[in-house]
Amino acid sequence: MNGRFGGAVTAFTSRRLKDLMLMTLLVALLAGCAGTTASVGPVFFPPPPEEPHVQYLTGISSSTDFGSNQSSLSKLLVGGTETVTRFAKPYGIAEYNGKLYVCDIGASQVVVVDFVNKIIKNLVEERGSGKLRKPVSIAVDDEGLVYVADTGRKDVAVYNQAGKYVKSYGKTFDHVSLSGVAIYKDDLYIMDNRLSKVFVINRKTDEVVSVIGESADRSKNLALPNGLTVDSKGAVHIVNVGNGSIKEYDRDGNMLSVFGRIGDSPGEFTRPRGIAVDDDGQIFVVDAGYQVVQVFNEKHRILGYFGQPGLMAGSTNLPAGIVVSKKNLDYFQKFAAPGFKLREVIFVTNQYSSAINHSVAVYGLGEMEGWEERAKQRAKEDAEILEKRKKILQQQQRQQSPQE
Amino acid sequence: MKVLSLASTALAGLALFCTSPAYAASCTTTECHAPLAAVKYPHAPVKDGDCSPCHIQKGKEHPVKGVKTFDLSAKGADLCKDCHDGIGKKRLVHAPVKEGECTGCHKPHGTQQRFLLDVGEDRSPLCLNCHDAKPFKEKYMHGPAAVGSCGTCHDPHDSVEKGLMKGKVRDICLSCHADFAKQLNQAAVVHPPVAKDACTACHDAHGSPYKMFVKNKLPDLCTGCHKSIGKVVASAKVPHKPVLQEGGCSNCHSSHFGKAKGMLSADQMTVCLGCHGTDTLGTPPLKNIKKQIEGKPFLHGPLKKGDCRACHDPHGSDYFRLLKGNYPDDLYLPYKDGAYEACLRCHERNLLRFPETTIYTKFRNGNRNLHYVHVVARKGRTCRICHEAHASDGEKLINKDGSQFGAWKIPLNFTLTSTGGSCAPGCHRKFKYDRVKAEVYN
Repeated sequence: MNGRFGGAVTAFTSRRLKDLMLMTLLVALLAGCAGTTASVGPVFFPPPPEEPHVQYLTGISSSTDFGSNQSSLSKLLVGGTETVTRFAKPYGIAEYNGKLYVCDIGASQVVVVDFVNKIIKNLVEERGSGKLRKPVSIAVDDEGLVYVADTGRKDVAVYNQAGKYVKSYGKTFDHVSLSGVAIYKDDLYIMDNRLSKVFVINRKTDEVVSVIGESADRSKNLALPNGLTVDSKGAVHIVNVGNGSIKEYDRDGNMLSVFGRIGDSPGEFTRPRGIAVDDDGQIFVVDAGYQVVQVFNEKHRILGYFGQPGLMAGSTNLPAGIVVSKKNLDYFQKFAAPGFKLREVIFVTNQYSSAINHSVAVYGLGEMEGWEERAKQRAKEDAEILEKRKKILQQQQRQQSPQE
Repeated sequence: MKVLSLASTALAGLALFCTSPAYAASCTTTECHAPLAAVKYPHAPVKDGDCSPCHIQKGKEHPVKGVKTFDLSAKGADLCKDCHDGIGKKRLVHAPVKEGECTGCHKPHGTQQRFLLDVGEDRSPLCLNCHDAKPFKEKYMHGPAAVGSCGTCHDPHDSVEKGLMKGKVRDICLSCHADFAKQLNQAAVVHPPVAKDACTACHDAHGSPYKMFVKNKLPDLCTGCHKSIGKVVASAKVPHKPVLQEGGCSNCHSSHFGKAKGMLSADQMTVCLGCHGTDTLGTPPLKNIKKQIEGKPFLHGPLKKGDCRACHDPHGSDYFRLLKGNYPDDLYLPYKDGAYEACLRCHERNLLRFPETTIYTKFRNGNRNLHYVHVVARKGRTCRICHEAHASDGEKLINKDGSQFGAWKIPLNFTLTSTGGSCAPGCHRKFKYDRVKAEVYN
């Protein structure tokens, strides 16, 4: 990521018409074999001739994407953990031990996706008090307990790896709409988007230890929070759709940093949703309005974006949740273009899918071989151009200055 | 008439002697050319009395007044090369040799000194006829240059090496400085130019106004390559004095090789305490850090590793006490972002940002951040009021007998418990604090 965001946009716009035509043709060709995974060339962000940093690798919308030959009907009859034929409306997403846990609001389920073993199944079989209604956000702790924020149930329901209901959070504090959940060590962060607060709960005592969003200084509070995550150091990053800001807090509710605003320039947001922070401190923010994922460095400088609206391969159609992982890199490396070395993989949930684009899209963050040399060369060329410009400017200044 | 005829007969006889080799011995044995051979080191043919390899008689008569009766057998170097073959054939040739001006330096018949030169071991009067004499009149001189022993290093005729050096510069230097070469081979850390470059990268082998005839004064000589350090030295608001004193960099670093990283004469802390281990450094004297550290069970983290540089920049700094970041030089300064950078570069950055915390410090009553209470309040107490920067005999770098407050050593009476502690300093009455069950103060 070299801050050439503007360049990437221009290149993209000039190619867009051609791409659209090509994609229309491809969709027409694939119409007869809907359900199979479309095969297209590598999709890079930013697109050539820029140096690629993200590649769209693969995705999954239904069990057929894993090559299952079981008919939908037989699966329906079998029931239970084998009933997933197709994602309905995926939203929140978490990763645990290389497996993905995806909230499907449409199906009122948590779907577990295991890319390596090609398994896609429902997690929860509970009826009655353990039944999921409208699961929006999800987090998994170190022991594998799955925490689901469910706006239908109006709580955070906890399930074990077998899908059995364990407990519920939400009875000990007043809330309206619990739409987000995150975990760091003993702390459970539960977000209420209507109250614009995040409750910090000790998982051992179940007590609310602090509340984010209750500062006397309103500028340090939340504005329609719409997504949250905790980074590897324990800082909570919260997306605010109300003012387009990303705010960073500690567990005591102290605001540590803030960036972003509503707007249509790179680095600005319109409907920001999911957020993920990797171990290097890079911040990924999903925007459902522009239908892209914007990437920032730890100092909040925009590095670039990936995904795009539309039907092209690698598009993000009404994206919602995001999670970054370094697990199973060897497996996902197989999907990468020759020479493109993955550093981490990024999973994005899309509420709409097509024959080409998937409900859960997998992107790889990495570098193409030899990029460092090319970057050095570019930096050298840039420096030369700059030097030339400087000289021209100096010359012009000399000519303009009065002759003595 | 009779006298004249006798004289002409005698001259004719002499001419006969000189024209024939058989009679050549008489050229230098007779009165006429005798002085040519009467030197300590005559040219071999002169010594042999054989003038014919170089001189050829043009006519029968010799001598004829006002007329040259002998010619040289060849011109320029051609005259010499019949015997002295092989000179001037290497890549680089001394200008007079190239131009055939052998006699520019050598006297062809003989001299009182060796090599047909007018000068003895001190060649400077000869060489400095043409070469600039300035480097040979400097305050600090290289031995061979000082005594004019140019030939020790240079070949006066030709060489394959630049400057008509007799060999590779390093080899020539180390051929005399054999003891140095031995130490160099055994050294743990060698300055890269010493390891691979010519010694003349830093030294002027003739002489210079600077000690050890280095090419430039210190630290400029060093910062010519070590540019980033040069920038620090040049722009530092707080300079480290030894850098600017005579000796410059070499006050701490060895210039050729060393025992420890950074070519220090010893490990970093030993070098620093070499000066900062006395009570008499500067006016008023700087603190004796050695005394501060000695025997103390609790050392500041970097000092445990002997790393003074973790906090101080020995080349110069823009901050108080050569620190690597801002730290107040006054005793009191209410916290503001950046004012305590020297400490917060390593210590928790959010330590002093929030009045309530559960994570940034253990020095709190309940969630009340007591660091915040002490430092952010109107009378911002700097870290040094409670903590020692280098070492202490109590935990948390707090000295048991307190810290210096002007003339008074202010007691702290700091104690720790598993969930808090207490403090009964000269500042206020005894206060306890507890992280789990907050103390109530009346």
